[in-house]
Amino acid sequence: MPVFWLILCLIILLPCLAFLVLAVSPRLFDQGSQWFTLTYLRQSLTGSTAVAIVNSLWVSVSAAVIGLVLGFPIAWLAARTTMPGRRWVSGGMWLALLLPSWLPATGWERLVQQDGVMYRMGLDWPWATSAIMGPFGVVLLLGLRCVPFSYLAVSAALGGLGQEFEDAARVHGANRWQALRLIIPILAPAIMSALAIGFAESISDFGVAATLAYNSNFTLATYALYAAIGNFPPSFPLAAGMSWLLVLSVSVPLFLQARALRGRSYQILSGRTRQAVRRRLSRREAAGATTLVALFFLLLLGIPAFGAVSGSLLGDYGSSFSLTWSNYSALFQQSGLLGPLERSMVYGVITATVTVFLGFIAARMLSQRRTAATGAMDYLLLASVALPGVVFGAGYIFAYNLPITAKLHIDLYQTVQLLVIAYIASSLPTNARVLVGSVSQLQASLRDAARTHGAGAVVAWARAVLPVVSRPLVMAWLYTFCGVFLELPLSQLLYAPGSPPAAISIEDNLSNYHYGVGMAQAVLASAIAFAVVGVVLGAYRLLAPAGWRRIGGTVRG
Amino acid sequence: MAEPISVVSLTKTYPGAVTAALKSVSLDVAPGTFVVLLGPSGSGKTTLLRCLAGIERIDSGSLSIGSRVVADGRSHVPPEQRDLSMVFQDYALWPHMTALDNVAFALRRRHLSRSECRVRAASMLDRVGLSEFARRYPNELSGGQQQRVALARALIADTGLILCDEPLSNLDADLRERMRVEISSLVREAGATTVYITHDQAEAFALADHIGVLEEGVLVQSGSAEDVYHHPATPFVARFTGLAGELPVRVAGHGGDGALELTASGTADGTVVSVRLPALRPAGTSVRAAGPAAGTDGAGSVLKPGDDALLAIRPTGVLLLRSGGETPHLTGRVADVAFRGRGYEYAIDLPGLGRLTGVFARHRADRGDSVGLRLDPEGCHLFPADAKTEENNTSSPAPALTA
Amino acid sequence: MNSTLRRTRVRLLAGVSGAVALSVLAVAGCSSSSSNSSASTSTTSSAAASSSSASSSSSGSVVPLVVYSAQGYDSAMTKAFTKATGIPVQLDDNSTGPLLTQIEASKNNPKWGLLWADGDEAFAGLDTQGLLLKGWEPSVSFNSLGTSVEPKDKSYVPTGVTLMGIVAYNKQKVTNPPTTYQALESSTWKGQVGMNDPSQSGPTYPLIAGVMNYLGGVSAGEKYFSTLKSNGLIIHPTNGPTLQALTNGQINLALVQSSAAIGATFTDKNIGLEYLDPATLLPSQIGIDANASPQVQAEAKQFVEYVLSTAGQQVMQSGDPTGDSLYYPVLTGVNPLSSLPSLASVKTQTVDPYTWGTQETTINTWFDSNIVR
Repeated sequence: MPVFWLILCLIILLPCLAFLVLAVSPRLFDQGSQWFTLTYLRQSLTGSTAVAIVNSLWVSVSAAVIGLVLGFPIAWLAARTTMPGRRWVSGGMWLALLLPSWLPATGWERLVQQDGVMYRMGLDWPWATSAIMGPFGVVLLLGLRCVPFSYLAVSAALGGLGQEFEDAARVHGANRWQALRLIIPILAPAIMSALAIGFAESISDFGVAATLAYNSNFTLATYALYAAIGNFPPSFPLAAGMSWLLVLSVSVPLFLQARALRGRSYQILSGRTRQAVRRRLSRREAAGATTLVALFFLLLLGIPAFGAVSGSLLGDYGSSFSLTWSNYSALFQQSGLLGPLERSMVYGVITATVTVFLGFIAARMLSQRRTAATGAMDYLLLASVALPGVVFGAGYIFAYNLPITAKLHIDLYQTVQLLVIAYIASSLPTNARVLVGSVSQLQASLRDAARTHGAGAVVAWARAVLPVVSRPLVMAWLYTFCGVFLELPLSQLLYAPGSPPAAISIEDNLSNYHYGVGMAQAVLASAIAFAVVGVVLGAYRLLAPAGWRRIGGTVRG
Repeated sequence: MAEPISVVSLTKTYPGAVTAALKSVSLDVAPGTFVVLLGPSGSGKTTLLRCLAGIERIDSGSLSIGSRVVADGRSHVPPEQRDLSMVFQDYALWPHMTALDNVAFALRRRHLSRSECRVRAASMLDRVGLSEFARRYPNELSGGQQQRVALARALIADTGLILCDEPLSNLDADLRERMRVEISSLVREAGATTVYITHDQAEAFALADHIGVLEEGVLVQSGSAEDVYHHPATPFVARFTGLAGELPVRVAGHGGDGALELTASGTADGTVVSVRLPALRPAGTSVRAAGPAAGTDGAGSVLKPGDDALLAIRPTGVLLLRSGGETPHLTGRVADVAFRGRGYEYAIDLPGLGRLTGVFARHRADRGDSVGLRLDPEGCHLFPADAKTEENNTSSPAPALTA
Repeated sequence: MNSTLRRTRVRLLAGVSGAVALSVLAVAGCSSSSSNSSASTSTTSSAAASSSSASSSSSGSVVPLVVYSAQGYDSAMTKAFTKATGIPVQLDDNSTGPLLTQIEASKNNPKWGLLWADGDEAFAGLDTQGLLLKGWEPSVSFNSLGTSVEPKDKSYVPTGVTLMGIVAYNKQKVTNPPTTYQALESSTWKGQVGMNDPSQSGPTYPLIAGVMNYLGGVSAGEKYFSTLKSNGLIIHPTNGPTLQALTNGQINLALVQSSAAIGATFTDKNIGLEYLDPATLLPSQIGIDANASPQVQAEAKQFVEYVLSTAGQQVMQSGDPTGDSLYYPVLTGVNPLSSLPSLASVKTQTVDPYTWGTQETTINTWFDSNIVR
C-alpha cells in the first residue's frame, strides 16, 4: 500500500509537520529570526498557556471517561436487551455526531445564562448557571460529545461478541455482573479505541472552547491556540509549541490502547460465534431504561436543538421572549445565499466519498494485526485529530507555500482543490476510527469464499464484504458530509477567493451585526444537512438489499 | 456428588417461532449416568441442554436437579446457582485469559484462595496433558488443546452435573476419537452425572450409558444403547441409528413361530417387480404378528396378511453372498464399492426396490456386478406403514425408498 | 455467472457511476461557479471589452485581482468594479483575523493583491514587516477625518471611518447616559456595562488603546479597566453578542463600534446612542501587497481609485445598509448617510497605529488575563 502511505504523508503528515516545525525553526517559514530555538516550546509550558493546556488535559480525560461511562450501558441496552425504542438509539447517536460542537454549547448557554431562557421561564436557578458556565459544563458538554464514539465502538464489538463467553461464565458460577465484568476485557480494544478518539476530539475541540468555556472565563488550549494565531502579528511559533504538547498528549491513550490490544486484532466475530440472545427486561426495567436513555438524548440533542431554534426565532434585538420569523425572512432576502450552500454541498459530497474510501482502507489496515507500520499510522491519524482545525489550515498554508512546492509547480494554495484536500485530510482520521469497529469484524474468509465460488475480485468484495460494512459506510459518509458542510476553521484559511463555503457566510453574519440572521442561517444549513441525511438514509433503505441491513445485529428477539 | 435429573413435560417455544422447540419432554436420569441426547439439528437437543444449564427459560413443565426444582413455569434458578459445568461446542474459552486462568475461574465458586485455585488448575491441566501450555492464551492453542482446556475447566469444580454441547464436532476426525476416549474416561472418573448431546450416532453409542433420541422436539425413544439399537421404536430412530436401506413391504401370510411372510414390490422400467422375502420374525418391539405365536408382551401394533409395512434393514442385517453360495433373498447390482481396510462396503441397487448402502463384505465385487443378498432377521426391523415415515436430515447413509 | 452475481455487478456499477457522475458534476459546478487561480485566466465579467483605462496589459492576458476584505459591502464593490473596468476580481471575504493569518502564513508565496479592513494597527504592523506598497496616493481630496488617519509613508489608504467610544444604551432603563469614560467607573453603572473582547473583536483594541492614549499611558489605562471590571464589566466576543446582551437586558450600556450601534437602532427602537468624549477614530483602509506583480499592483490602484470615486462611495453606502455602510466618509464633498448622528459636537482622537500597534499583543494578553477572566 505505498500509494496509500504517500497520500497520507502528503495530505496529513506534511501540513502537520510544517506547522510543528515552526516551534523550533521559525525562520524556515519566515516567522522569526532563529533557525533553531527552544524558546517557544518553553514558553508554551509556562504562564497562561500552561494553565490552558493543563485544563485541556484533565477536561479531555474526563470527557472521554464520561463518554464511556454513558456510552457503554446505552450500547449494552440497545444491543443486548429488549429495551423499547432501541432501534432509534443508533440513529440518535449518529445525529449527535453530525452536530457541530458549537451548536450544543450555544444552546446550553442560551438556556442557563443570566437572563436566559431558564430564567425567563421562571426557573431561578443560579446554581445551574454557575455549574454549566464553568469547568463542569465544559466537561459535561465534551463528555456528551464523546458518547457517540463510545457507543459506536462498543456496539460494533458487542455485535461480534457471541453469547458463549457469558454462558460459559454463568454455568461456571459467575452471576450476571461477574460475567459482565469478565467480558469487558474482551471488549477492551473497542473501549480503549473509544477513549482514545474521545480524548483526541475533546482536546482539539474549538466549539465548546470558544463559546461556553470562553464565556465562563475558563480557558482551554484550543482557545489559547486560536488567540496566539489570532493576535496580530500572529505568533505561529508559540501556537506550534502548544501544538506539540497536544500531539504528544495523545501518545498516552494510544499507548494504553496498544497495551489493551497486546498484539491481537480487534476481531471478535467469527463465523461460528453463536448469536447473542437479548435479555428480556421486565416492565419496570424497560420503563426505567427507556426513561434514562430518553433523558440522555434530551441532554444530547434536545438542548442544542432548542438553543439553535430559539436563537434564530428570537428577534435580532428584541427584548422580549416573543418569537418571530423576521430573521428567516431577512435571510432569504439576502442575496448570495444559495451560492455558498450549493458550494458546500458539493464539497461535502466529494469529500465524503473520497474520505470514506480512504477511511475504509485505513480502517482495514488498522484492524489487522498491529505492526510498526500500522502503529505509526494509528498515531499519525490520532495526532492529527488532536490538532485543531486552525492549526491544520495554517499547516497547509505553510506546507504548500514552501519555495520547493512553487518550484515543483504545485500551485495549490487558495484553490478549491487544496480546500477539498484539506477537508479530506481533516475528516479522514475520525472517519477511519469510526469504521474500525465494524471493519475489524470482517473476515478474510468471507471474501475468499466468494472468490472461490466464481466471483471476480470486485464482485467478491461487493458481495461478501460490502454488505457487512454497508451501513457503517453510509453513516460515515453522512458524518463526513455534515462535518464538511458546516466546517469553519479550514474554510476560513483555505477557501478559494470568490467561492465562499456556507460556514463563511454564516460566520460573517454571526460575528458582525446580524446575529439573529446568522443563527437562522446556521439553522437552515443544519436543516439542509439533515435533509441530505434523510434522503441518503431513505435511499439506502429502499435500495439496499434486505440482508445488508440485518447484518451486524443480534437477530433473535 | 452426582445428582439425579428429572425432566417432566418440558415445553419450550422460542419467541417468534411457529413450532415448539421442545414438546412435553420427560426424562429421568439416575445419578452418575452418562446420558447422550441424540438427534439431528433442529431436534431440540441443544435447547434441552441449554434449559438444563439455565441459559434458556422453559415455558412449562419442570426441571429438577437432585431434589431441587430449578425451573418450572414460574420460577427459574439462574445458571450460576445450579452447581453444574459445561463444555461448549466452540470451546468458549475467554480469549484474554491464559489456559490456567480459564480453568481456575471455574473454581471461584468454591471460595478457595487464589493460589489454591491456581494449584488445582495446574494439576487438572496436567491430567488432561496440557501442563506445559498453562500460560498460553487460547488463540495460541490448537482446537484439540482448547477443547481439553474446556474439559479441564468443566471438571475442576467437581460439580454434580456436567453438560456437553457437541464438544467433538469442531475437531478433526482423527482427534475426535482420542478426545472421545478422554472425555469418557475423565468424566466417568469424576463420577458426575453427564448429559451429552450429539448428532453422531456412532459417538452416541460409544459413549452412552443411556440414550435419548429427539425428533423435532419430541423424545421418541429413551433407553440403553443396545436397547435403542436393537429395538428402535420408530422408523426415524431406526434411520438415525444407521440403516442400509428401507423396503416397503406387504404382509403375505404367516410363517410359523410368529414369523411373517412379506413381499416387497416396486416398478423397474415400467414392469412390476415383486420379491417374496423369507419368513421373518419381526425383531423390533413395534410390531407383532397376530396369531397364536404372537408374543404376550402386548407391545406394538398387530400386522395381518394384506397389511402394508416398512422393513428397515440395518447394515448388519444384509449379507453379500459369494457367487455360487446359498440362494439369495434378493438380487441386485453393485453401484459402488469402497475399500475399508478390513473389507469392502457396497452400495447395491435393487431393481425396482431402491438402493442399499453400507453393505459390508470381506470379498470384493466390482461395480456393475450382479450380486445376491440374504437378509438376517436380527438386523431387520418391521414397522407398520402408517408409522411416521418422513425423512429427517440424518447422518445415516440410507435414502428413503419410494414405492 | 449466475443471476445474483450479475445483479450485484449491475448494482455496483450503478453505484460507482452514480458517485463518479456526482463528482464530475460537482467539479464542473465548482469550476463554473468560481474561478480558480493557478494561472487561470478566466474572466468573470461579460463586459469584457468595455474597459476604460488600462484594463489589460500588453501581455494579452488579464490577471485577476485577489481582494482580501472584511468589509460588509465588499462583494457589491467588487462586482461594481469589475463591471466598470472589466478587471476580474477574486474576493476572499473573511473576518480580519483569518485574513491576517493567511497573509502572515503565506509570506513565502503571497497570493493577495490588496487588503481592505477596519483598524489601522494591523496595517501598521504589516507595513513594519515591509509587506505593504509604500508611497502611493490616489488622486482624491481627503477631508479632515481622512487626513488625520493617513499614514506618513502612504503605505495604506483610508476609505472611511467609524468610531469607538459610542455607547448604545437602553432608552427605557437609562435616562441619563454617560458622556465621559470616567463616568463609567461610578457605581451608578455597576454591572450594567458591556464591551467586546479585543482578542476576538478587531475594533475593540483601538477602543482600549484610545482610552490608554487619552488617560496618559498603558498603566493608567490598565487601572481604568480594572476599575471597570470591579464595577461589574461584562465581556462578550464581538459587536453582535454584546448588542444582543443589551437587548436581552443583561447589560444597559454597550461599548461597541459606531456602525454596529447605529445599525441596532434600526431594529430596536429602544436603543439610544451617545458618544463618549473623546471618541477614537477607527478607519477602514486598503493596503496593497508590496510583493505582488506590477500588473496586480496597477489593478489594485485602480480598485482604490474606484472605491474613492463617487460611484464607489455610493456602493459603499448602499452595500451593507445596516452595518458597515454606516461609516463617516473621508472625502470632501461626500456626506454620511442621514441616519448617522452628526460629528459636529463630537470630539475625536486618533491613536498612532505605529506606536500602539506593536503593543497590541501585550495589551490584549493583559486584558484577557485580567479583565476577561
